Amino acid sequence: MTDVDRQIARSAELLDRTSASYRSGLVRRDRTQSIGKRVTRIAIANSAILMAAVIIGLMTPIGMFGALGVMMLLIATTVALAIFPGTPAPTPEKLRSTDLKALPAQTERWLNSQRAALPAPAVSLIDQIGVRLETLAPQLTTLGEAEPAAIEVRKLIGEQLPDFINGYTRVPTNLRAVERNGSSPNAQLIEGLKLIESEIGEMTAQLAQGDLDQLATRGRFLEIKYRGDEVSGG
Amino acid sequence: MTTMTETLTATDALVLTPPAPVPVITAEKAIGLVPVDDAKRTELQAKVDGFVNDLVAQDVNSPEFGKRVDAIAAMGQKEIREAAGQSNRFLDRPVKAMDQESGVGADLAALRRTIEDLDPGKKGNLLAPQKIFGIIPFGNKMRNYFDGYKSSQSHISQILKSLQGGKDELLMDNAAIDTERANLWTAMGRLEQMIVLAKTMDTRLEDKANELDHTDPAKAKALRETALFYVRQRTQDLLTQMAVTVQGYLALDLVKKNNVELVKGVDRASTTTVSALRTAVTVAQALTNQKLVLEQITQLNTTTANIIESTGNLLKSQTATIHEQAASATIPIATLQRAFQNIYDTMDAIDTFKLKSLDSMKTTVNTLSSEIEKSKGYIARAEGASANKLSGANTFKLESV
Repeated sequence: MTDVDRQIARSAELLDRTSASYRSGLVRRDRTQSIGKRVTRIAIANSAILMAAVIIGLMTPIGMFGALGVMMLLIATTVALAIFPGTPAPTPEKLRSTDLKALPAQTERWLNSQRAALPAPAVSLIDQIGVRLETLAPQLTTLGEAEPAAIEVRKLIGEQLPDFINGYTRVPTNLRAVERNGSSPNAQLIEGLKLIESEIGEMTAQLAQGDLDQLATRGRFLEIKYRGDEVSGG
Repeated sequence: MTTMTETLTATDALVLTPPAPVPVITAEKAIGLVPVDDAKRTELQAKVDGFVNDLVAQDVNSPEFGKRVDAIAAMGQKEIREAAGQSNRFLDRPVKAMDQESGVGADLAALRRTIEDLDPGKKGNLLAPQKIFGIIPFGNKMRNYFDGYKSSQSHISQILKSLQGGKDELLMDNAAIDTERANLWTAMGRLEQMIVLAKTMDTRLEDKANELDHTDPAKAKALRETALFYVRQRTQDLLTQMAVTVQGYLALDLVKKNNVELVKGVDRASTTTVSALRTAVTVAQALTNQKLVLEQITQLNTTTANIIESTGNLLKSQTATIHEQAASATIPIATLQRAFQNIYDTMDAIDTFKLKSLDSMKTTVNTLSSEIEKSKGYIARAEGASANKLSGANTFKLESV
């Protein structure tokens, strides 16, 4: 692959990432997931209430007011569960103890919860990191927890990334744009996020290296064995 | 008799040449093995010019100057790390190839043992009548001997199958080596670019320092003591890593050639074995009118012969000769004896080859290990330089293009 190709691929990727349709897709998927979760929870709670009412009703008749009470309870639970927020975003402390396979998804959720606190250019970088994390996630499923690569991944997306963003959010808002030693916290945030984004991409490339090599090797084996590329030539 | 055996041996000189050990590659010799094309060279030179001009424009004591010097200290660190990661892996391969106790080596040993059991030369005079207690004539020695084939056939066919599997493994190994060599070639290309960059930087900085000697001696001194010092250090690191990588690249080629020879040997061992068994079938027919049916061998024979073209051809021509000899000659046992001798010759050729190649492999591994050991010190320094990577010297990164 030449540099031009690589550059084109990068630009195409960037376009994909930043296009509105892509982002809305991400958000929509997130929302449908959480709605699904809520509906199931409501259904479970309501059926539990009805079950309890029937059992109590079998032992002692609950009467008109009892039925009314059950109905009120049903409505109250439904409303409460519908309004009450879904599972809260994980805290940085929780990220450290998360299972490696679930880590990219959890980090992404945590990042999304930080959106509001970050300036606009950083938000688009967060989106890009999100995309990188999604590519990384399936690669981690086959990776052992103790392997050096796994430890590196955990350090970067489980510790350094949250620590870095937390470090930024701790800076008072009015100081964030103030220049200091030739750079401002805002610029440092962007610079650091860019570095993290490219580093996650690098990790993906490194993890893919083995698979790429294996594919090339198998192809070469077929050539050697069935086309006699080498053995006859000695 | 001699004319008959000659026809069989005419095609049979199996020569397996062990590859010569890889010599020590000095850093000076390692340069220029992978060419950098002119367009890239110009690009790199432009990069260096821009960087040097920018560096000289900075105040010597400013953090900006320091950042750029740091960039020089970290120069090529990524390329070295990449190449080093691969060079540590090549030691696995030659060592694996030297392993005698598994795979093809073990199969060949098993085949030899089984074949020795069937060797007609070890059974005494097969034509003499068999007698109980040496007195009472009983049974037929020749018949008993050929019965031995029936009981060994499943064992032999298993060994031959396993040899084919071993051959596939060797081929797979070679395919993996090809992939690794392709990766190394890319890594060497990048190292070479960094060497070009470092050398250009050296001359440019030297020129600038000489220029500044009259106008700004303090700056000239700073340039020499920091920037130029690091450039030279990194050039040495790059050259060392390059030498190690080239050495590994050549070592992999050695393993590959070795495997190719071994594959030849395995093919020949299978062919001669199957051919001896076929001879036995024919001879049994001629001598005892015994129809020796070696089903498993025949099956194996047709499948493998179709896959290995050389085997097929050899078998075809040999079978014709064998039939002719067995039918016409009065001494078919000699033909059989010769067929066995062919197997032994092949196996001896493989053994001699293995011994010799073991030597060159050992030499190669030793030189490679000591070179890698030498380069480790440089890599450690490169790792140390990477510690300040996150500090954001991003914009001045000196990398291959």
